[in-house]
Amino acid sequence: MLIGAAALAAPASAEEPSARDIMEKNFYVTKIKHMLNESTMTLTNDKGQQRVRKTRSVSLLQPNGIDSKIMIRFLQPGDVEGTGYLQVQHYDGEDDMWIYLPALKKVRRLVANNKKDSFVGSDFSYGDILVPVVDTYQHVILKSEALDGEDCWVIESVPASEQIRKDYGYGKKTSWIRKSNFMEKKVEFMDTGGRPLKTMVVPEIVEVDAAGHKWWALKREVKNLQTGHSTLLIFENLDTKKPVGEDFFTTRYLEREK
Amino acid sequence: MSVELRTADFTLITRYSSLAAIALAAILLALPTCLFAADPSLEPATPAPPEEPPSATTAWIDKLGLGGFVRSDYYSASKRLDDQRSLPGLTFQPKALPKFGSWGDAKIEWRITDDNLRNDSRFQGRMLEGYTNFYFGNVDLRVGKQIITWGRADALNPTDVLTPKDFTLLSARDEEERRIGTAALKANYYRGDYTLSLIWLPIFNPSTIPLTAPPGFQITEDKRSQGRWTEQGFAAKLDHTGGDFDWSVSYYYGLDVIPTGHSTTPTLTELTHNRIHMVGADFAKNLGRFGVRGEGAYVHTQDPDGTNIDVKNPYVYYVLGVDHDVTEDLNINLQAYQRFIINYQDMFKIQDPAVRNIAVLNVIFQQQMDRIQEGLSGRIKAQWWNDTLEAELLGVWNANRSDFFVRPSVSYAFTDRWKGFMGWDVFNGRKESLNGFLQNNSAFFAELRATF
Repeated sequence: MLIGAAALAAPASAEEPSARDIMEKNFYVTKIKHMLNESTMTLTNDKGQQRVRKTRSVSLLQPNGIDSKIMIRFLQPGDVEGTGYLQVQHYDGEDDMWIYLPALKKVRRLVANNKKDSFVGSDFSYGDILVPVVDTYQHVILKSEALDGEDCWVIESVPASEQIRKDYGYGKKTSWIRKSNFMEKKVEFMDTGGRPLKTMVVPEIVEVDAAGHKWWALKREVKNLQTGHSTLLIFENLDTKKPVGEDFFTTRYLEREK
Repeated sequence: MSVELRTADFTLITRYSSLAAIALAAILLALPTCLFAADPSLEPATPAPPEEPPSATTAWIDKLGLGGFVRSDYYSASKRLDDQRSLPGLTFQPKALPKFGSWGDAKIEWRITDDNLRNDSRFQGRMLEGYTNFYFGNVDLRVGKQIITWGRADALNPTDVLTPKDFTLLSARDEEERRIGTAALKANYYRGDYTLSLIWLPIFNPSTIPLTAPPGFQITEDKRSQGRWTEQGFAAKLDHTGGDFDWSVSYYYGLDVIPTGHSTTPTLTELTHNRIHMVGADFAKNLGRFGVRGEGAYVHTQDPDGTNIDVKNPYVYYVLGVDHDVTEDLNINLQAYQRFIINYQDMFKIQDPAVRNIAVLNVIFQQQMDRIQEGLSGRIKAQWWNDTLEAELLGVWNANRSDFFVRPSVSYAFTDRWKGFMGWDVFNGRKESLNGFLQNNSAFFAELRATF
């Protein structure tokens, strides 16, 4: 079966990169040295009722070029305003995570989440937010096609092991990767039982570092096909110029409520 | 002082409780419909209109960091052991967090509450916190009335002895909201993952405990809040948060926020606060998908020999716990604790009934009834519907006297602004135990909260 998968993973044509190369470039294209941004996450249920989460975030890429330190401050709703969240990623192990709850005045170390768990009640999983390293999945180019006027590779990705399949909760992913910049345009997710689970579309992207060929999705929308619930994530006020120091990712800043 | 748990008119209580519960349940059920209609965020998704620039009012609200909440609640019993039943309450808790620039910011938060609208005398206004932060290089200074929380364990915190709590507060989130600030100067020095905190508490502020004098008796309290040197507190803590292991060591020298009582006349009991030294430590570490936490303290008191019944004995108190996400929506937290009383004396053996009653009351509130006290605490929390519906079961069981506190509760976020809570506080056990003593504080509660 592995031999079959390897054969399928061969490039579709001599000029084209392999599926793995494409997904590796897709993985690194959003690895930005440092960034400040604000985001609005709108959760909509199957009846059209909406809930809005607003956050302000700072991130700093670590020297390995893979992991980041991320500080998120919740601005809305009022119930969670001032809550701080600090994550130190470890691609080869469990992340270190802390939360500051203004009502309790405490910084609390969190237990690492399962990758398939919902991210703050949204339709994104933790595994969707922190995209796994490329060899977590085995990739195959299915075809090339234009999607909304943009040339894309269509790549099928299956978990590299049964454990990964269980951890991430996906049996298969199909990604439409833009040929112009390696950013995904659409991803379809199947659950471990082979049923359609979610669809994510990335309609708006922006180049934040022309020299380093780094891009960022200004808008991502995920729809859960099984529940009818959807999440729209919009980023604003991106700043990749302002320096961000290591000392920012400490309890000192975590405890500041504004 | 003799402490008697008086019998109440349960028929009347039941009738009032039932009526109020039905009324509140009706409000809770009816409101979401109104709220959905009133809140445009709950209308079916339509294309958003172009964003308008923020108004001057919005800009000011944002600049001052204004926020807070209003809550309306119903409790079937008070938490003052005063036999009051069926309490509809209303609370307004505004706050402001103005930012002055990179050098500092401030916070002020008030609670204006009437926890029994049927009784004119329960209105209370209180500043919970009011402080300014100054940021210099590696040092932060916080000056003013502030809440200082110590300890990495969950709810049972042997090192959390600096600032007081109001144990009579009626709130579905009482664990968070019962804390009250104390005037303090706190300096934090930061170096990498380490923080050194030095704290001066010039004006003492005691906890409010659930105690009401029976008819014919009087309880007074020397709150020791004059700011004299003998009333001031000093504390220091070295904390490491980072990497894969968090820990701290801490020290406090000052007055005990929990009072002890002594009888001045046969019908008058005075509560007072004695000096303590607390040396403590805590840690938190993840072992795989399990979070392990521990916290312990040695508290040295003014009665090291255990001969003075009006003063708490020295003790060692520690907690060890673990929490785990069983599934995506279900978290379980379990803790075990042990408290060892040094030079323990059995107050139940005192012959004089008046002296014995005071001494027993002291050891109940100080939790020094037995030489070695052990128990368990647990919290099971489940979330559904994209975290909008939550159910929680919280409990503490004291093994020595088999007394317990249990709180099953549910909450639902109707919208981002409106949230409802319902639950039941159950205190139970022998009369000569903490939760047995608090048995009359058992109450059904319902609360509707709007955050702004």
